[in-house]
Amino acid sequence: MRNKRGQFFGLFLVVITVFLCLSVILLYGKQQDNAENSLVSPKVVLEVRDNLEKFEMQEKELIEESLVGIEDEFCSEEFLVSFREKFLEGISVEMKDFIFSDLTLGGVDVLDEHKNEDFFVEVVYPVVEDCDGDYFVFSRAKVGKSIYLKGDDRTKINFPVDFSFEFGRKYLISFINGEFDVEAIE
Amino acid sequence: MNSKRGGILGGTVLMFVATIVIVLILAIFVLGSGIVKGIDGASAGLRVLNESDVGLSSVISYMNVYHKLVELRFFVESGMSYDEAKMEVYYEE
Repeated sequence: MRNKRGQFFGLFLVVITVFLCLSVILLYGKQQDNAENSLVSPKVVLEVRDNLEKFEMQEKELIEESLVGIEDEFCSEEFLVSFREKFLEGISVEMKDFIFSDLTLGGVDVLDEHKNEDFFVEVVYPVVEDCDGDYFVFSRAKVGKSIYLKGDDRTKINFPVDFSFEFGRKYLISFINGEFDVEAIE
Repeated sequence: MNSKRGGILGGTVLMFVATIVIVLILAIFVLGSGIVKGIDGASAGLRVLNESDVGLSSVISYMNVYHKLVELRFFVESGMSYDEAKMEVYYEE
């Protein structure tokens, strides 16, 4: 009787060993599933940077085009008003779309109802006030963008990133020897 | 007396065989874990993430279009208007 118990004990060891092996393999698989993560891609940031560069190319070109054809004396009040009006009329849909996407002002999201022509007139491109005979500074006020970045697969471990930045620019516009020169200074 | 001795012998043989089987199972487990890690792409016990796991594949695809921006910048700097340069770069193959 005692011998039979010994036989069962030997078989029991085999069974328990197989069971433990399977448990370890299953736990390993489960652990790997839990450790899988989905990281945020920086692609959106790169695209925003590229779109900003395109926007600034268009902006500089529009400034140069807006300066041509104004008959008032350079730096006179009439000249500055005409220039600004021409510039604001020439802002393209692509430029507007870039500014209005994920737009913030002073860190606060701008509501859709405020995203219109007036926003450019009153906020983005303020009135030119200083003009020193040969040159004046045309500014784009600082506005921001805030984008909530998240991983592709939300079922995996992921760390969302709140990406925000502000951008503005100043152009020095001068009139020398009958030619306009536009230079980004800030 | 004989049956008692046979019982002892049988138990000993069974225990011996069982021990060999356990050792074999453990050896298979140790070697098999290497196979499991190999299948899972683990290196030195760590699973190495590939570029799609860390979101780099989208950046690589981005690099394929980045050169268009460089071309656009080149055309604009060389005096072409933005719209013409855009047509040249993005819409003409």
